[in-house]
Amino acid sequence: MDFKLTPEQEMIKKAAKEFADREIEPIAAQVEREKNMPPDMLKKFAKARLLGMTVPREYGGVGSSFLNWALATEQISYPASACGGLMAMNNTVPNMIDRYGTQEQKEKYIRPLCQGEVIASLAFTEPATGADPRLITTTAELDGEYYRINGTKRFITDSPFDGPVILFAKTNDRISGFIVDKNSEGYTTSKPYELMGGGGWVTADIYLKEVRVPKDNLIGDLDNGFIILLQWAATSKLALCAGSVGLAQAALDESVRYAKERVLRNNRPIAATQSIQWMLAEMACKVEAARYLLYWAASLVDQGKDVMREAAIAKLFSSRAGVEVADMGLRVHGAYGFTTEYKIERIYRQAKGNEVIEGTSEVQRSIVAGFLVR
Amino acid sequence: MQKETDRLNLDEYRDVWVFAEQRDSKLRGVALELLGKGRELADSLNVKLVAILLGNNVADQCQELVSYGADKVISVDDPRLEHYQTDIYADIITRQVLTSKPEIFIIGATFLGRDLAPRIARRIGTGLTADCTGLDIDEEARLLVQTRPAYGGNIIASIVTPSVRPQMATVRPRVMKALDRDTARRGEIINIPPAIDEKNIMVKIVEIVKESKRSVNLEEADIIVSGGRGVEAPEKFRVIQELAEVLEAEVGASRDVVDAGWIPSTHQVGQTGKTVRPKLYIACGISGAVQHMAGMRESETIVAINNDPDALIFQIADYGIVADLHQVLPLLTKKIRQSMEER
Amino acid sequence: MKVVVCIKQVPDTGEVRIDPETGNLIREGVPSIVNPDDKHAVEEAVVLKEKYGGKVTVITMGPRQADAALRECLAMGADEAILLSDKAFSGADTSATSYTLGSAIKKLGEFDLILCGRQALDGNTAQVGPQLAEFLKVPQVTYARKIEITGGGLKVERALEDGYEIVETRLPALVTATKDLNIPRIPPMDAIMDAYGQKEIITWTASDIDVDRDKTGIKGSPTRIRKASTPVLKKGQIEIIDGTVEEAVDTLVVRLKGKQLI
Repeated sequence: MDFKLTPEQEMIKKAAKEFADREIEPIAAQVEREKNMPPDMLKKFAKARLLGMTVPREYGGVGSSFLNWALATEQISYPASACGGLMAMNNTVPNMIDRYGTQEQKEKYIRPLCQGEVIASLAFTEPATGADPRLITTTAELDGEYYRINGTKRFITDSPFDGPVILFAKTNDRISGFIVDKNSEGYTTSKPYELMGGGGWVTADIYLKEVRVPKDNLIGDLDNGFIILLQWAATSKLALCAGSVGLAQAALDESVRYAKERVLRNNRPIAATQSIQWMLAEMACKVEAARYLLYWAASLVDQGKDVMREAAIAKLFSSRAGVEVADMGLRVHGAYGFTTEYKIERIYRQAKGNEVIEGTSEVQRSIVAGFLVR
Repeated sequence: MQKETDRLNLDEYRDVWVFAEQRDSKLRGVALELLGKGRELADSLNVKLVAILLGNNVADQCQELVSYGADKVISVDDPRLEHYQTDIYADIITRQVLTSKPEIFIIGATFLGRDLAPRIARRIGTGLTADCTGLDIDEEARLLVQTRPAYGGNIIASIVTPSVRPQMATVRPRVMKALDRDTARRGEIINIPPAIDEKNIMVKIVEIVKESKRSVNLEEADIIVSGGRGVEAPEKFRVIQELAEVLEAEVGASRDVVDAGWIPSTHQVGQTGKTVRPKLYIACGISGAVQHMAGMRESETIVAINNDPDALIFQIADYGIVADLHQVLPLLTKKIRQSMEER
Repeated sequence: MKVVVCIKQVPDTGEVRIDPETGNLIREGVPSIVNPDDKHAVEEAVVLKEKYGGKVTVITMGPRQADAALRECLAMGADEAILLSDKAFSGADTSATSYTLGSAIKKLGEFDLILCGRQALDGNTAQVGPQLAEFLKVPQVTYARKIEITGGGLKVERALEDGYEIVETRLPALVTATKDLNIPRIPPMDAIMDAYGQKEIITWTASDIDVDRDKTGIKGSPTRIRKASTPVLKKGQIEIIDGTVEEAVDTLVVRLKGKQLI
């Protein structure tokens, strides 16, 4: 078992880091404050070929391994900015279209996502539930050549922006997945939510009123959409893991730097004190553990394995690690950590999100336990 | 590479040569500084110090070269030599060098020098050492010992050119010291006709543009106030600028800060930036990475202000304050302004 | 257009540190990078290829590990990469380096333009470019800030200390690149995969190129390093000014006034 990255993987990591340093880091604080991402950011991701990384070249993707994608996402998350989040949807959704879509769907929808022309969404969550398919109330009724879709979706990332959304609706008491054009008539979104962290990240409710979707836009088998959701959730979790790892590493680096600079009365930096050293050591342990869980799960995907259990373990652990590392980091910074002068406060706020979005930690626990006790 | 018989031929090479760089018919500071060093080398070897000058309307500069130490001046004065052009200068100088056989030839490491010297060295087939911070004579071996930094200043190397001649070296401005001007000195001034072969001119100068934006002139500054990562944010650089203003100083910066885009690269001091030698260098929030120090260690007086008592900069500073520069600088600016107003 | 770019893999000297106890250079763990000025040269070559068509060949003289540097250039858009690796090449000064590179370039055949970085982070001599131009007997334009291909050849804006000049020359020519020339692209993910997957690095030893071994490597170097040491830092004379910030500032002002600096 060779844990060393290959030279190619090192270069992937390096190039992604350069992208983050050059394009995101300089504007991160401002984007956080103004909650406004530069309009050309998605195109920049596309140019660096960071979108559609795991999708085949023939459809416009990069055809890379999941591990490469995880390595890149980890680096993109380091600046602790919502800009990094742009990478997730246009990777996980085209990945699903590639796995479950028809040839026509693949040829139509994947390339524009890889080229950053539009932005994808995935809509499952509703007011009643974020995880239970039986509580879904959005309906899709077959009407000639179309399905008519009615209902409400909650907390859908990038729902107001042009592009395709893989949307789950009730059919025959089960659920099915549909590729819906967010530009469709009858499709509207609420005002975006104001969130605790990730300024610039847009998440809003979707109102669907008699939205007509061509029959051919059913993705996967009828009534069998839940499996698509589960698979998407597994890969999307890996994106969040990578996010947590990137954030945690940033928290650690910031804290080490601060600890070396911050000097006490006797001219000793706080980094020389045991209490700070122990905190930094714990942070380092958690970062490494989270990182290798991520690489492990991603490698298994590359080996063709199903990772529902592994992704849940990785997300459960890394999201908690991210929160704890951010918390310790803020304490290392002392009162300065509570101000926007330092990066740590936005890391703290953003890290918390990963524990509750896309399946709370409690849901992850249920998944893992499920594999143990059944 | 060179055989015994060639070794004997080295004795045919005598004298120390200095390239006298001029701009707009006026000698550049580096030329005079190199004469200062050249004088010392020539005296060690008991040979002549020769300056070679190319330009247009530079007759009055010839005597200047003598006043600054040259025993002999070879002057090539022609309108076509007004602006430096690689091929013309390389042709003329190479021919002179091959004819006169100096043992040492020093050129200033300016934009011009760094374009010219390697071309000449390669044409002659001799060794060239760039950016020397020290030049000395090994009298026993009759060799020029060329000292220069490498690896961003982390290594100091001593280099020699044992078997070929002339031993060529370039030296940056502000590294050597010019002699005091002595108008009583006498020397030989020889005028040589240019003999330019138009066929050999491969690059044509179409336009020369002087950029008159208040150009940062760190190399000539007497006082420099420099900021590093300790400044923390581009908006905070103001404290550096305010202190510089009250001292009528230039603003310098470390590489980190330039790379982060907080200040243009014209302000960068260091191995890949400018070498400076001001009377006073105030380093604020600069840790003293070796490549930065390589660019300013020759400053006469160095003041370091840094939060980190272990910062390397304190090892070369004359005065140090271990404190937050954001507290020190405004107070320092205020005090200096007050004391200036009192005068 | 056939463009040849000469690159060098260098230690990231920003990361190089001195061991405070021994005073020696700490070399382990120092990452190797493509020399920054050379990256600008590669970028420019790729831009010219994208504009005018043609081929970009990257060449380096170095040890086996320089492979990673060449791959990065391939990922940026170079078409072909050549590694000149041989014990006979090692220990070369700039003169021997330019001889070896030049001999390899002669073997490559016709070219329109050679691009080099202005100077390398470790040596900082800025000599290889001009020496290579002299060896190949082509015109040189150093300190390039902007390059334009014209009907007749090349038009370059080159930096001067206090401004710039615009020069023209015919092709083939050699140009050295400064950081003001362009912003090197970040190698895209797919290009990185291809650089490691499909593209091959061609390795040439001394026997593959037509060289006189007396003129390469340490043998062919007119300059010799006699001694290398770590610099002695001017220690011991510092006065750390104590007290509160107020007191320290006052003391400093007194000191500087005493030296007639303010």
